[in-house]
Amino acid sequence: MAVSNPYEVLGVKRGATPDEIKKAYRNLVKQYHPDRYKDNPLSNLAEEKLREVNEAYEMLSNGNSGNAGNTYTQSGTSTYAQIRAAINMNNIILADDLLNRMSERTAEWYFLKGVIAAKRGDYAEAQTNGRQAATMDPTNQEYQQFINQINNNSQGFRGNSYNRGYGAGGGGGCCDCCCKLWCADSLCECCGGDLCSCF
Amino acid sequence: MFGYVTPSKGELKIKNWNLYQAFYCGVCRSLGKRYGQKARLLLNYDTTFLAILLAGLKKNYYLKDGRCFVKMKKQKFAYGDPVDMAADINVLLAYYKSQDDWKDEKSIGGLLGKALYGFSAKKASTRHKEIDLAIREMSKGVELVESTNCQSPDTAAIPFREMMRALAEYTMKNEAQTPEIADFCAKLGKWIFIIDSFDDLESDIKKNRYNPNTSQAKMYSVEKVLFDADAIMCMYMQDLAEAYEKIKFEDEQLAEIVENVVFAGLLEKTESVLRGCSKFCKKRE
Repeated sequence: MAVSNPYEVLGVKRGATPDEIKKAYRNLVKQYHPDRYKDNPLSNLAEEKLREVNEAYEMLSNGNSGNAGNTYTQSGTSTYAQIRAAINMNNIILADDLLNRMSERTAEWYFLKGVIAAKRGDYAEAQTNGRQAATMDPTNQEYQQFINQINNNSQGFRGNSYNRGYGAGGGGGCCDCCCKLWCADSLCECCGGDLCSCF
Repeated sequence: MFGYVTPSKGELKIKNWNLYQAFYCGVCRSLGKRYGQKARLLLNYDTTFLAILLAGLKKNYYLKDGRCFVKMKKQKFAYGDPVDMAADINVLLAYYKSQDDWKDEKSIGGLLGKALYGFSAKKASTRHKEIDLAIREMSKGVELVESTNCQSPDTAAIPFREMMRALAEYTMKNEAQTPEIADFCAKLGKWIFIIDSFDDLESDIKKNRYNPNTSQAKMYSVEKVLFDADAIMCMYMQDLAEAYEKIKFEDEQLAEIVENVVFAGLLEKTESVLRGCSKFCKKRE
C-alpha cells in the first residue's frame, strides 16, 4: 500500500519539525506495536497500519536531510546484519520490527522474513517468502537450502504418524525428536547460528 | 469449513469406531432434543470431535442403548455435558456459516439456513453468550481479512484460530488443562482454515472470490501451490501433535480416537484435499 500523504498518516501538520515527526511516529509505533496485538484477532490490521506509519515516517525522514543519525535510514547491509543477530538471539519481535521498517524489498529481505515466519510457526508465510527470495536470487545457496528444508519437512510428521502405528504415513519412520532438532538446527544455521553441533 | 476433522476409519479399532458413532449419534440426538428435529440436519463431524475431546478429559458422559430412526437400527448413544455443548456449538457455527454463505455467494442454501435456523441460533446464543461473542469477533476479523485481500494464509487464519481458542477457553471454564486445550484447539483451527483455503483455491479463483493463496497461485500455478502445501500442512500438524501430547485424558478409549484424528485422520484429509494435483500422487508413490 503506497502512502499518499505521509503527514496525514502520522497525524502531523505539513512542515512539522523533525522532532515533532519523530514524536508522532514513536507514539503511533507504540500504539500499533505487534506486542500489544499479540494473538488479537485484529493484529493484522495493526500490522498493516504500522507498516503504513513506517512508510510515512521513512518518506518524511528521507526528505529531511537534517535527520541524519536516526536508526531507520541505515544502509541495508548493516541492518541485515543486525536482523540476523536478532534472529540468532531469538528476538523475533525486534527482527521483524527492523525488517518492517525497511523500504527496500530485496531477496535477503524476503528470506529473513521467511525465517522469522518459520520461527513463529507461520509456515505458509515462511514458504511464500522463501520462494520469493529464491526466485529473486536463484544462485543463492542459502535461500535454496531454506526452501528445500521447508519442502522436506513433511517427512517429520509422516514419520511420527508411522511410529504410532498408522500406515497412512507410509514412509519416514524417522525419530521424532531428532527430526525436530535437525529442522530447528537447519533453520538456525541459515542465519549463521548453530543450535546443535551434531548436525 | 466443516468436515475436515474426521478419524481415519481404516486405522480405527472397531470398538472405537462404535464409540465414535455413539458420539456422532449422541450429538445428533442432542440437536434434535434441544433445537427440534430440523436442527439434526446441521450435524457435522467437527463438533463430534469436540464432544469426544471434551468427554475424554473428564469422562463425564454415559452411553445408553436407543434406536435411531434415520438409520433404523438399535445402537448406543452418548449423553452428557460435552455432547450437549457440542450440539450448541454446532448450531452456532452452522448458522454463522449459512450467514456467511448468503453474504458471500448469495447461495440458496445460505438463505435457507438463515431462515430456518435463526430461532435455534438465538436460543443457542442466549445459552452461551461468550461463544456468540467469539463468533461475532471472528466475523469482524474475517471481514477485515477479506476487505484488505490478505495474501498470507497465516494472518488470514487468525480470526478463526482465535475463535477456536475462545471457544475452548469458554467450554473448559478455567478448569485444569484449559491452556493446553485452548492451544490445541487454536492450532486445530489454524489447520482447518488453511486446509480449507487450499481446498477452495481452484473454485475461488474461478469465481473470483477471496482466497489467501490467490496471488501465489497466479505467480506460480495452482498445481505448484497445492504440491508445496503438503509440506507446510505437515508442519502445522506437527505443531498440533505437540499440543496433543501435552493433554492428559481420563478416558483411554476416547484418547485413542483423538490420537487417530490427529495422527491419521488429518493426514488422510490433507492428502485427499491436495490430491487435486496430479504431481502430488507421483510424489507419494
